[in-house]
Amino acid sequence: MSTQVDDSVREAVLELFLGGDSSFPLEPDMDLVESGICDSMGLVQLAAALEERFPGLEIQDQDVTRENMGSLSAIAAFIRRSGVAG
Amino acid sequence: MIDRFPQLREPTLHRMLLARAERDPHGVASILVHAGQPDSVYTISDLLRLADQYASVYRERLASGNPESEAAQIVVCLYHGIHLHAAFIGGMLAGQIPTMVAPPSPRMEPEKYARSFVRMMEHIAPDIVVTEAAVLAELEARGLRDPADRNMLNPDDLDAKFQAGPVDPWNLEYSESEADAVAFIQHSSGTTGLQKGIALSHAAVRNQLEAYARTIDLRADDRIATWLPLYHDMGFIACFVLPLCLGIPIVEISPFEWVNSPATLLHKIQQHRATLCWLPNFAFSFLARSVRAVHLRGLDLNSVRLWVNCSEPVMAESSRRFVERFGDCGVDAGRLAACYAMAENVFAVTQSPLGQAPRVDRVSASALAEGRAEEADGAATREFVSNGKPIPGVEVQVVDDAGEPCGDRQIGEIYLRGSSLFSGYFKREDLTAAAFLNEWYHTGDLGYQAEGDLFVAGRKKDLIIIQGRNFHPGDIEAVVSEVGDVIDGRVVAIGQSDEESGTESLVVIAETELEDTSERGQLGLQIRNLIAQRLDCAAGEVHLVPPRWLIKSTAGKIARSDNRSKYEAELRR
Repeated sequence: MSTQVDDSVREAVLELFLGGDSSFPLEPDMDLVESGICDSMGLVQLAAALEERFPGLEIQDQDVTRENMGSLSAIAAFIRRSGVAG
Repeated sequence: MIDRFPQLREPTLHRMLLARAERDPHGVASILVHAGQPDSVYTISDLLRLADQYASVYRERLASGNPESEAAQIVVCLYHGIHLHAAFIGGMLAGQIPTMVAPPSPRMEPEKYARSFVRMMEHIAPDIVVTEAAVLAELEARGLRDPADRNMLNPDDLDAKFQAGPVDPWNLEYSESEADAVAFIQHSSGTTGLQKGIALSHAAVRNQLEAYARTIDLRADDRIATWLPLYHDMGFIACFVLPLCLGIPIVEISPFEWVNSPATLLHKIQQHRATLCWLPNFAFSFLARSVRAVHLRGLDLNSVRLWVNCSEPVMAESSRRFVERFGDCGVDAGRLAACYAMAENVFAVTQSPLGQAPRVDRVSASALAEGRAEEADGAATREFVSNGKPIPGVEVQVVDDAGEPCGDRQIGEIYLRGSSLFSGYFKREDLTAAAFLNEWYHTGDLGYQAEGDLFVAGRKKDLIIIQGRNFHPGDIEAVVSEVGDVIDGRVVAIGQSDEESGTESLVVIAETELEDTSERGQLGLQIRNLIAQRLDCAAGEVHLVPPRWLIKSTAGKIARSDNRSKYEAELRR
């Protein structure tokens, strides 16, 4: 079941890289870089966009990795771990 | 400038380095930044001593092989580190011709890199290759390399001995070269069809260094901060050859680290009080967008007297965002400059004047379509940023299709000539002949002049430049054509200037018979996957269109400029 965090992360990725096309078949575990949705610089920009979307979220440079930011599910898990989304 | 930097009297680059070491043997050459470790500081003596060790290994290997009188080509393909600098300089000390080549990106599949590396080496045909042990192991594992090949070496083969203290420069063994001999080769980047070896003489490089030092009013106490790769002309000349020869310290971050942690550059600027920084346009946008609140606390960039925007079309919007984001940290528009450069001219061709924001020209979009840059206000306009006037010793001419010089504000091809122009494409006289006419080099770039300022307005040839990487649209179209459900040959790839990212964004338009939404979604994804895997690039937009949407020329070829107009009218987001 998708939560508000999942939906918000999905929205951020669609907006930043896919022109807001909500019909794009973006799967939770899809690797964003390998599948050509964005490049690794895109992940750094995504981190900045997520900080704006989730007030209180602060992402350190060392956290901007493929493990934490590489897919929708990884990002949602990271945000939950950081405790800002409740 | 010669009074300020007497080593400019020397006829060759390696003699300039030796003269620098003689004047100031303890001078800092490079401060290398490695994530999570203290910075490594190397003096010019340290660097020359290591370069000398490389030079002896080169001599040894060349002597035991095929002692030809012609200078040998040495490919240096290493990651960020002192060996990258030393292996290159060693090539010049040994009287050979070194060239920088891109090492594997950590996100690239080893298999793919190994194969493209082999193709690249077949193309360049070097006499010696210095690369990482991991690259050699990868080649060997795939049967792409003969383990007994003595002409491939890695830094471990050198058994480098670091020794403290000043070097006695003129006692190092070095080969005298003629000023007009080839000093090194710069390889234009890009997909295979675009790779050309640009041969540059010592004299051309020396002339560029003197002219450019004058242009930026280079001072002995300047300090350069950079993350730029050295296999690209901006990083290689402005942030490596120029500072090394003229005695300016370099603070260098690995390009791979910068991508993941762009704020590191800013923190290192502050820590080392850097004064000069060269960045491609997209980096201004990227820094403004990706540097977060946590990085801005206490950030002071006031030491930087000049931020040079170069190597991609300069966008006014990127500069605005950069100044807005970092204005409180000591960045102001008057410290920004725009530069038009290319490896064929060693580096800079023109640059905007110091101390003032580059002039922005607003012109009518409709007149532009007819080849005129008429000043205009309002909505249907485009902005161009001035790249300033030619640097000393360089002449620029804008020429129309008939080969006649254009008037002010008339768009034509940019030609140039002067004292730092390249000697030719290495061993490619055919290409060289095609690029020159009566000593004028035809750049293939389109632009116009107004009151002596040069504005770059596009390219004559189809070429997509994304974050400084060159792609031939035909290569992208061929990859997309392979995807099942894309109608064979009915694909067009275009580069769309994107103010958000500050660079071009790749737009792919492909014809398909599919109508089902979910099948079309999967097809869009497959296209993105394949572009990422084959070209290591993320498409900005993928549009699927019905059969016969794309316009073909009467010759039956996909007409890129017509399709661009159709895209802009019907699909552009």
